[in-house]
Amino acid sequence: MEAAGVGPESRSWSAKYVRARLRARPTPPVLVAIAAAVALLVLLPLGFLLDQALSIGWTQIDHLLFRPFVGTLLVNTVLLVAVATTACVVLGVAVAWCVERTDLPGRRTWAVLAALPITVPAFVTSYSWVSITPVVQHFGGAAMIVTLAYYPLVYLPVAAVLRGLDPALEESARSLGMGPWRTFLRVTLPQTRLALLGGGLLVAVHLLSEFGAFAMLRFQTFTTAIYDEYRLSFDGPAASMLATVLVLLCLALLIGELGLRGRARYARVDTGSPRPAARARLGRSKWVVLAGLGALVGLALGLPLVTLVYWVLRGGSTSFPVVSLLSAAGSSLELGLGAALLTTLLALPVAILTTRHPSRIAGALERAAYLPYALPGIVVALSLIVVSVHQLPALYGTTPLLIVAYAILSLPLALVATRAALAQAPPVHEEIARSLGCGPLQALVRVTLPRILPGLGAAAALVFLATVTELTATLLLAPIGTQTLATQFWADASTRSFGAAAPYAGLMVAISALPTYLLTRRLGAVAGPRRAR
Amino acid sequence: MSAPALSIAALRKSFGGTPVLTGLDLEVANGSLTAVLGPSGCGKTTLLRLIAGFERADAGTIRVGEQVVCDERTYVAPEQRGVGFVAQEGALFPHLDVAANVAFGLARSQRGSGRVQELLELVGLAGLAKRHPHELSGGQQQRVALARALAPSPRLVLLDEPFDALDAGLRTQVRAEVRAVLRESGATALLVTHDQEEALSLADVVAVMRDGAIVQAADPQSLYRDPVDAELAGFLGEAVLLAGELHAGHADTALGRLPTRGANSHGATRGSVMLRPEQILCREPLAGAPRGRVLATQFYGHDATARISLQDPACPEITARAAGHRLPAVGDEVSLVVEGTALAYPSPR
Repeated sequence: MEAAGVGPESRSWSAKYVRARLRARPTPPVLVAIAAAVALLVLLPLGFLLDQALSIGWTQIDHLLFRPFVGTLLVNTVLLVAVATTACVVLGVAVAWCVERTDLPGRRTWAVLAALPITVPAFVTSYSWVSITPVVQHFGGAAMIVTLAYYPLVYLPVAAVLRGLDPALEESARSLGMGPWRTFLRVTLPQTRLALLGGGLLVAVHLLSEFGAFAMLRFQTFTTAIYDEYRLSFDGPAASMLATVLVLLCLALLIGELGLRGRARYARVDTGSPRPAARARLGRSKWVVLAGLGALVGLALGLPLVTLVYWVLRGGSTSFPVVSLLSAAGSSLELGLGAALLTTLLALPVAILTTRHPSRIAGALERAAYLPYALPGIVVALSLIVVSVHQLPALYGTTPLLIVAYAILSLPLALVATRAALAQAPPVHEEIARSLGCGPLQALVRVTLPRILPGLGAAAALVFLATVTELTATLLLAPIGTQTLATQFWADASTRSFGAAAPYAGLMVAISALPTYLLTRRLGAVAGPRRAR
Repeated sequence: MSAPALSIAALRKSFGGTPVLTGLDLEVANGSLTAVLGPSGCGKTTLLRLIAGFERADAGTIRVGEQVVCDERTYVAPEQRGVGFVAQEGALFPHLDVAANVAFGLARSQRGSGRVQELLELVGLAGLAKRHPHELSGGQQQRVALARALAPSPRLVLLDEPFDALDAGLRTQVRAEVRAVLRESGATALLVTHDQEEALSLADVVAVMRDGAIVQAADPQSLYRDPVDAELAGFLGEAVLLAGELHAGHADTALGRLPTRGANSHGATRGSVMLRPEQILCREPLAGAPRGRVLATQFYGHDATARISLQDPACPEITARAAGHRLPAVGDEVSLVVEGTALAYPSPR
């Protein structure tokens, strides 16, 4: 609340005042230095990549860039992103509304089932379709499959907003003479605009980055082309050039979303509305909705799982590969834990700087750390290859470099979770600790860390999840001889050994189920609508 | 006399161009309880945070004991100041139990030494050592927060509106307890509040803050009796201001000739005098005494106030206080008798 005369003693400090107050706290220079190092870790490889792409001179750039092949890639990529993102938005909003705002039977179960396809990586979903029928290997098939894989990214945030919506808004609209449909379009939908845009952006970014699903479907986009170029020429300017174009596409998306978002901001979801909203009665159409949801969950979740089970049971050409399965699982776990640890450690100082000592510099460093949010894994991997080959040859092809790639890619995830935890731990506790004789570091360890430990755990779990199912960067950067569940799956699946590939995918999904379960329990308010009547 | 526990000179601080402290001076005597009283937004909390070292001042000097903790060149970190802090809502560490909260500021060797128990007994919570903060009432949380702040024997304890979060019934009791604890421990304390009744009833010295500076600092009785200006008089409690002609030792007003204190002027001047409503008594109509008619009354139980319009049309309405059982009725005609002296404020020339 921003009332006139609101002052330092008032309980409802204006946001501006709080920021000014936090800014007044002395900022430890060490913290700025560490955060700057993290930002540099993100930015530097990208710089080297751009440098390599541009170092070949304009004639070469012209030659590499303006050819029919690149035109085809551009059309394919942009068209697919547009169609599939739109489909995800429509599907996500429709499912969210049915689950949250109607009297659909079994709503709680549907709420969980509709979110679950997010746990199956898109490249596994497309594998299961391809293993059934080659018919899906075209634009339409690709668009359908990635929509099934990614719609939860829109569904989840929109559902959260619909659940927290003040029922008074809709009731006022109805009392002003609007019908239910117009109320939805003119009152409800605008409320979800930010969640919808955020979810849509996430889908589009994922689509620009997606490699495995499109490679499996033989559908060429920038990512698959970069991978092919890389395989052909290893450390060549052609791959860097395509990667640069991909980065530009991502930037265009970010700027576009910023423009659409306008002056609105992502509102904090409050503890909830004072009373649950009245739900729309579906009447007879509930059978149609039930059938639709059943089909959706069947296609997006049931089909991949059933296919996996089928192929595991039927087996491949060889006997069940226990040894290589265990060794791949071992590397996946090791890499996942390493990445979780490193990323959380990198995110913590940046989050402390931005929540406790906001300033222009802190804001700029944070934005740099959020950049990988829109950077495809293949771009990060490629840029790390460029850096390591030219600057640090000792690092090339090592496990630490791969873990650094994971850390860069999942830094935004860890940052969001860590920031949220820090924002909930009031700075007054640190101040009290200081007045009781603790130095800044001691106050962090004795007071702040115990409070934000669950948040750090969530950050680590998110990173672990992303790492275990990561394919693209792993394919490019894994040391020779290191196979993860994802790469071993890929090696078999891309040679059409569907039966041999299945156990790896199955174990991968099973391993990522545990952190998902823990996360949904922690975010219980988001995942399970317990307050529903 | 030894150096004061705290002395502040010409302290300035602004936030994003908005001045909050504008050259503030304050001294807190050793062993005293001083209250800084001011309306919301006057910069009280900022003052405490600068003393504690959570923020840096723009200019001015802060001394704790003999040590300069903040001036142009010096900034001593909060942990090296020996200044305890009790936050508005206690701010107990939620992951620690009561004993661990109190022991937080003690050196490792001291934690088992009985100091914790001693402090818990001091605040009357000896049996609750193993409780967690969420299992305590608001008043108990405040007392634990006080014990925690006192544990390392700080040179000064700061309390930031410590009773604000408590409900009215509990507030009086916790106030008295906190005051007793501070007395017994011999600590020097500085408390900020916007509640004038709290400041006057609790503190040895009350310093009133306005527009980022201290307007007046004195013991509660002198402050209430002789506020430096009419605005302050009204802020500290209800005040009746009457325009009049001031002479040496008396003033002629709508309530007749009143004996005055302060402003020993030579010769007559225009000005005003201040009376407290409890100085004005309503009586049965008497010959010779100024009269008025009761416009409205406000009943508080133990006492009551009456708004009275004087027959003199040039004079505003005044407020008189009466014991609850002697409240006149609306419409009554009463005579007004003034007890004690009025405080004279000559008009500025």
